[in-house]
Amino acid sequence: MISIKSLSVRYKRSGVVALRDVSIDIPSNKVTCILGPNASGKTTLLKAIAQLISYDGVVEVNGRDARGIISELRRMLSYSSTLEELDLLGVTVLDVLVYSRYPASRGFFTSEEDLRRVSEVCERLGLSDLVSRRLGELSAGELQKVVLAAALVKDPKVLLLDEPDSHLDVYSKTWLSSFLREISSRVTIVLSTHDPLFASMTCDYYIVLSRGRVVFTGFHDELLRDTSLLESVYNVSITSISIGGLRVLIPLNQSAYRGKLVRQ
Amino acid sequence: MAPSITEVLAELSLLDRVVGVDSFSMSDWYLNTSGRLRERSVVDVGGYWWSAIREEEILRLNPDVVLADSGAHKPLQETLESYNVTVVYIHGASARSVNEVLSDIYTIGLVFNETNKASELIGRITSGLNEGFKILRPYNGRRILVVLDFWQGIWVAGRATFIDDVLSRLGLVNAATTYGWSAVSVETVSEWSPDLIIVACSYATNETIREVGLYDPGKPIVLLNSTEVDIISRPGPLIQLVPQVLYAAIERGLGKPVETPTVTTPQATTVTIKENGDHYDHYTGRGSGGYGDESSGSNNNSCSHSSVLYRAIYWLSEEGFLNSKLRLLLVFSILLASTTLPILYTYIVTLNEGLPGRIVVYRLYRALYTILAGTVLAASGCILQASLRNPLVDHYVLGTGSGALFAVYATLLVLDHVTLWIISLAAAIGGLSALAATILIAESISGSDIAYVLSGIGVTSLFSGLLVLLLYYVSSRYGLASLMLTGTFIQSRLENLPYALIAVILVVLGYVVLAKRLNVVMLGDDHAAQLGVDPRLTRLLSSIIAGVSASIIVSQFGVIGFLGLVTPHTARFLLKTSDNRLVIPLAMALGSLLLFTTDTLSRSLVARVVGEVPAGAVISAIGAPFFLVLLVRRFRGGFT
Repeated sequence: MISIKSLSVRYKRSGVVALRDVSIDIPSNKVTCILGPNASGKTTLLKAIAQLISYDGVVEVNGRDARGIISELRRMLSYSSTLEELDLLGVTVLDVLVYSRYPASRGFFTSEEDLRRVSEVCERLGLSDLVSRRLGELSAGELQKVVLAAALVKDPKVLLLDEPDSHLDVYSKTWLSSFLREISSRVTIVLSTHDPLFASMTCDYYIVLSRGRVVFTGFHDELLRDTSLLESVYNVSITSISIGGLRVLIPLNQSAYRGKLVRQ
Repeated sequence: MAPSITEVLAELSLLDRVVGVDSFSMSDWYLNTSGRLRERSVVDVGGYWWSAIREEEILRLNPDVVLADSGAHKPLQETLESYNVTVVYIHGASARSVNEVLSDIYTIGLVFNETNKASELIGRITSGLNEGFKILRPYNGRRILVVLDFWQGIWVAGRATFIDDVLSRLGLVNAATTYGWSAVSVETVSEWSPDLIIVACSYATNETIREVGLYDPGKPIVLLNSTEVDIISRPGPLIQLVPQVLYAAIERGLGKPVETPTVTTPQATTVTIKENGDHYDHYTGRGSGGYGDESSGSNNNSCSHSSVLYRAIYWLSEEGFLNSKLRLLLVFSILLASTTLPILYTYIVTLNEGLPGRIVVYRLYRALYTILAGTVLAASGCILQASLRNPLVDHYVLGTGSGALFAVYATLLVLDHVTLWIISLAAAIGGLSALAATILIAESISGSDIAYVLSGIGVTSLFSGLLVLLLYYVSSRYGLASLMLTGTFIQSRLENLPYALIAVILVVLGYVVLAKRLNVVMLGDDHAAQLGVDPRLTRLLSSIIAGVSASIIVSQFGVIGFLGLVTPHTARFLLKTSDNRLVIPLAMALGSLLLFTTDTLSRSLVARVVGEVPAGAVISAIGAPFFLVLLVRRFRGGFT
C-alpha cells in the first residue's frame, strides 16, 4: 500500500542528513514497527510519509505519488505525536477530538456525524469519563490515549504513530498492544518505539534504521531469528524468548546477564 | 515668577525693583510690562512651571526676595532656602478666588512697604467688580461656561476656581458643576446647558471646536482673542478688566440686552433666552435625578438580561448539552442582544430625558462605537491567543496598540493635511509592523508564551517612549491627539463609522474563515498540518486580520488595553470549551457589553465628580489585574 523509493531527507537549517536513500514497502493492514536508537531517523521517516516535511524521492500510497493526492491523504492518513497542553486556553478532551475531525467534518459547526464518531472512539478507548477535562488536568498516560483517539476520529486508513507507548504503564502498554493488533485488520499502522519488548508484542513487520539508513526489513520471525543485528544497532545485549507461543525481544544489561549466568 | 505677580508689581510701580521674571512675564503686554522689563535687561529665569525654572539663574541674581506661586513653585522651596534666598509664597496664578488675589496684592504691598498703594489697588479692583456687576445686570443669572483648553477633553473652570468667583461676583452663574479645573465631555457640557460658552483658549479655532463637538449642544459659543484670554485667565490686577471682556463676549454671544436676533446661532439663542428659568429648574431638580437613574438602570438592565442567559449556558454545558445546537443558538442570541439592546436602550433613555436631537445622535454614535470597538478588540484578542497558542496576549500586550498609535502621531507630524483614511492606513501599517517585530523577537528568544509577553513589553515600551516624545510636538498642533493615549469615546462622530465598520467586517470575515482552522492550530503545528491546515498560513492570516482590525480601532478611538485579553478567557470559562466557533462570538458580546457599560458609567457617573475618565483607562484598570492573575496561574498551574 505504501511504497517508498530512494527517500532522502536533509534538514535545511542544520544541514544534517536524517535519511539516506531509503527504499521500503510497507504492507497493508499490518502493524509495522520502525526500530532504531535515538537520532536514527524514525520520526523523520514517519513525517516524510505523512507529507509533513520536504524530501527527495517518492512516497507512493496506493500506487499514486503522495504529493499529488495531499487532500485525499489528509482524510485517510493520521500522524500523531504529541499535543500542545494548553491549560489556560481551556482545551478539553472533547475539544481535541472534535477539532481532529477537521478533514472529515462538513460544514462550519460541529455536525451530528462528528459527535457520533467522537463518542464512538471515546467509548472504544475508555475516555468517556474524561471528555470534559482540560488537557492540563490529564496524566501523561491519559494524554497519550487522547493523542491516539485524536488520530482515530477521522477514521483513517493509515495510522502513523510516533512512540505511542511512551509514558504508558505496563497495563496500558499491554492494552495498547492488543488494541492496535485488533484494529490492524482494517487500518495500516506504522509506529516507532524505543521498547523492543513492546515492538515484538505488537508488530508484524519491522524496519530497523541506523544513522539514517535502513539496515533491516522483514517480518517478525526473520527479525527474531538472529538478534545480533539489533544488538549491534542498539549496542546492548538482546535476547529473544518465547512466551505462550509468541517470541518477544528482551534487552538485557550486560553485567546483570553475566552475573546471572555465573550463579546458575 | 508668574505673569499675574509681575502685573501686581507693575500696578504698584515696583517694576524697577525687579531683577528677574518668568518667561511668560517677559512677553506681558499689560501696562507695557515686557517693554519696561527688556529696557532694564531683566533676566528671564524660565518657567512659569517650576520644572522649567532655571534655579541657577535665580541664585546668580541673588535677589533679596523671590515672589513665588504656591501652586507651581513649591518644589523649589528647599533648594532656594538652602542657598539663603528668601522666598515668599503667595497664591499667584494658583489663586482660587478673588479674595486670594486681593490678599496677594496686600502681601506684596507689605513686602515692599507699599501698603497704601496696595490698598488703593485693592479698592480699585473691588469697585471695578462692583461696577461690572451693574454693567452686567441685564445678563444677571445667565449660565456661563468658561472653557480653557482642549487637552484630552474639554477643560472647564468649575467650582472653587477664581473664574467661578469672578462670575458669581458679577451676578452670573457658572454652568460647570465640577470641582476645580477638569476635563469633561461634550455631553456633560450639554447637560449643564449653559446659556453661553466662552472659549478662553489661545490656540482654539472654529475647527478645534468643531472637532471636539462643542457645537453639538447647540449653544452659542464665543471665542476670545489672546488678550482677552489673558484677562479672563489671570488672577491678578487684570481682573478689573474682566467685566468688560465678559460684557463684550456675552453681547457677541447672546445679543444686546434688549432682545435682538443674534449672529452666531439665532435659533438656539432665542430659545435659551425664553426658557432660561425653566432650564435651570429642569437641571437642578428633575434633570439631574433622571440622569442618575439612567446610569444605574443601564447597569441593572444589561447585566441582568445577560446573567440569566449566562447561567443558562453554564447549566447547559454542565448538563451535557455540549456542542449542541441549543448552545450555539444561545451564544448567537447573546451576541445579537448585546450589540442591539444597548443602542436601543440608549435611544429610549435619551428620548425620555428630553435632550435635544443632536445629543440623541451623539449618544447613539457613542453607544454604537463602544459596541463595535468592543466586538473588534475581543475578536482580535481571541484570534491572536488561538493562533499564537498563547493565553497571555492581546493586541495591547503584543505592542500593536502603541505601534499603531505611533504611526498615527508620526503621520500627523509629517503630513500637513491628513484624512481619516490616511490615519487608518498608517495605523494598520504601524500596528502590523509592531506585531511582526514582537513575533520575530519572541520566536528568536524561544517562542514560548512568556517570550511573547516579554517581547511585547519591549516593543510596547519602545513605541510608548516614542509616543510621549512625539506627543510633545503633535499636541501643540492637534490638541486632540493626546485623547488617544487611552481609548475614549468622547469624540464620536459620523466620520468614524466607515472605519469602525471595516474593522468589524474584517473580524467577521476572520471568524468565518479562520475559526475552525484556529481550533486545529491550537493543538500544535504538526497536528494541524496532518489534518490539512497550514499552521503558518493560518497564523499569518490571523495576525494580519487581528492586527489590522485592532489598529483601525486604535486609529479612531485610541488604545484600549486588555479588553482582548479578558473577554476570550471569560467566554471560555463560561462555555467550558476552547472552541473558537463559540468563544469568538461570546467574547465579542462580552467585549461590547463591557465597553458600553464602562463608557456609560464614565459618561454619566464619574463625569459628574471628576470630569470624564477615558473608558480605556477604566478597562485597563480591570484588565491588568486579570492579566496578572493569568500570569500567576500560568506559573503555578502544572502547564508546561
